[in-house]
Amino acid sequence: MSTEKNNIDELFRHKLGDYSLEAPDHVWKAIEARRTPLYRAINYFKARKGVAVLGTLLLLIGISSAALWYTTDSVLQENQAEQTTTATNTNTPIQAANSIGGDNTVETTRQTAPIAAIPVQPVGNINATQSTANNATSIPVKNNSGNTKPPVNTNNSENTPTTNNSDGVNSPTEPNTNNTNNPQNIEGTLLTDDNNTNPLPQGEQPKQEDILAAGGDIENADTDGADKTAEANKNKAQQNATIKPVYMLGKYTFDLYGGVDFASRSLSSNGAPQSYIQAKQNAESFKVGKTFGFRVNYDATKFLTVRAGLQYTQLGEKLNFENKYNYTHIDTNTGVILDPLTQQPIGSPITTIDTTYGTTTAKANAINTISFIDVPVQLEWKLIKTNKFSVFATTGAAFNLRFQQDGYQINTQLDGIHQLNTNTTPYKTTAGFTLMGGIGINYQLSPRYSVLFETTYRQGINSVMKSEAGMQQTYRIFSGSFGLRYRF
Amino acid sequence: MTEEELIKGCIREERSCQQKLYKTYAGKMLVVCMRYTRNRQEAEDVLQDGFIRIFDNMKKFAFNGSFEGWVRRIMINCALRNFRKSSYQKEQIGIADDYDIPTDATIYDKLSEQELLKIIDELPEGYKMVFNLYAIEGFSHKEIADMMEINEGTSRSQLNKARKYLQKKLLEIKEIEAPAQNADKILSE
Repeated sequence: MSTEKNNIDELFRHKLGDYSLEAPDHVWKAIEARRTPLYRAINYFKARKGVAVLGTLLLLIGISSAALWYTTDSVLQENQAEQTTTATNTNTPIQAANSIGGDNTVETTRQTAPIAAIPVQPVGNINATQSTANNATSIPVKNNSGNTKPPVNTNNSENTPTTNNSDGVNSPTEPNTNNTNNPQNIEGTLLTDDNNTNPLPQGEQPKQEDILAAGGDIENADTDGADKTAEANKNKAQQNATIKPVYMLGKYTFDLYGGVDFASRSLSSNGAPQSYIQAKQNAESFKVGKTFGFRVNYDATKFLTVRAGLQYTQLGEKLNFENKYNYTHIDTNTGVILDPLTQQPIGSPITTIDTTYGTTTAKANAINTISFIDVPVQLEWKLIKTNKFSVFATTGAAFNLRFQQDGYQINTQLDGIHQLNTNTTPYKTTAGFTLMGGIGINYQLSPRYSVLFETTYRQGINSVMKSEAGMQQTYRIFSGSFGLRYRF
Repeated sequence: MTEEELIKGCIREERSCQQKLYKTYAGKMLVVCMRYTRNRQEAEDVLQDGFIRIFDNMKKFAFNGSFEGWVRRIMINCALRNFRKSSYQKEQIGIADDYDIPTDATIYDKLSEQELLKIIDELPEGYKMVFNLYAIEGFSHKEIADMMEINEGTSRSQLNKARKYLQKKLLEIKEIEAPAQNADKILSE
């Protein structure tokens, strides 16, 4: 038996070991096509899916970190600037006094470094210059002649310690009677413009017309006005004391998302036999797929956002093919009929044709993968919006950059399956357009970060089959995805 | 152009060298692929993948062994990968284990390579793989077990079954051929 085994092995080894057929030219053409730089680059990343995914993730993390670092740094700088401004404003009264020109003097209870200036025109006539107290304090001043002028009715939020004349004559008006002259009240306030909203840059002088527009009128100043001012000052000081860091949030957001897909398809004949279409429908079923991608969003209005990005979808298709079919086998033999007695051939050689009919069953199982690389462009409309929570609807279209189906296909004779390759695949390399619509929710975790859950329905418009395939096939995909949104 | 020059040309991505290499080995490798696949089309797919791999990995060839052996090994690996990827199994026909048929080299030597290929092609998938790897390529059961991710015992069992299946097929041929051979002998006398 051992020898027989060796004989069989030897027979096949000897005959087939070095047997050669003619090299097929079309295979070389296919190889040449696959040696182009683009194809090789695609193959490089296909063969290293892990590296590609890791690289993409690292890139995204890098971009996000850089953006986060940049914005955090900006906020820090803003806060520091704000604190500096506050400290400067504390010294305002002194600087204001110092900045008043001529021989005018103001006595204050504090002497600090001359930093910011209350803009006052340094002129000799105090009647003309005191109208500059737009953002300054109620400052009693005296001129050279010793006449004390009423304090300026100001719009600002600051209180200035009341001053006494050097000659011991009190100011005729005491505008600060209701004010708290404690310098601490000044803490946290900002050097502001007319509207008390925007800090003025350090050392910058407001324009004359701005000052006048602020209503600084020495002649019309009275104590009632001063009281009102004091009340306003008090309120504003309280508001200023609770100022929190303000994030400068932009209109752009960045989403990173991924989820699961449930696919179905519509398949119809465009020349292919109905039995083949039926066999495909019976044999092929979808597994749960996956989608992940990123997109950049722009808030066009409070409720409308435009978004675009890149997404990858991979669907799995189970192929369970089983078909019982009839076959015909024809054997042609040529021989002679021997005389049983003499063992001599009778007549000339004859040819016999044996035809065998039978039934056999072809069974095949395979897993196919279907992948899409899409550029979705969508509009997002906020239906409900609260401080942290919003519900939105989306609509749009996706342009397919790349479509590919790998795996196996049922033979047209329904006697088995064959592997798809670039030459024989009936599928196009792009799936064309897909319409998209969906609904989702967004929950804000922080001013910059939010999470979102979204359900999307995608309807393929174009058939993914080549015209010569004799079939038309479009996909329908229902997706559920989670995402992280970052606001720049 | 020597083989070494051809290989170096392929490493430099010279298309003419690659084509020459293909022309030199594709015919033989197509037969290798056909032995491991179900049909010619599938064999050509494996051949194509195999040559792409060869060109991609040409730099790794160390020039210290047979280049043809290296090419063949890549083709076999591609064929095995293809086999693993598709769990295709045509319904197996029951194979009896009681065949013990003496082989007659004089008859079987007349079988053409195409006929032998056809016989191998009719083997169930698992048998075909093991028989090819063991009987024709000369791998050990341990190597086959590693390559196909099966037990050594399974490899042995598959090989035995493959041999019995082939014996049965050869016997059928013998039954057809023997009378014709006798007739030839008589005619020649």
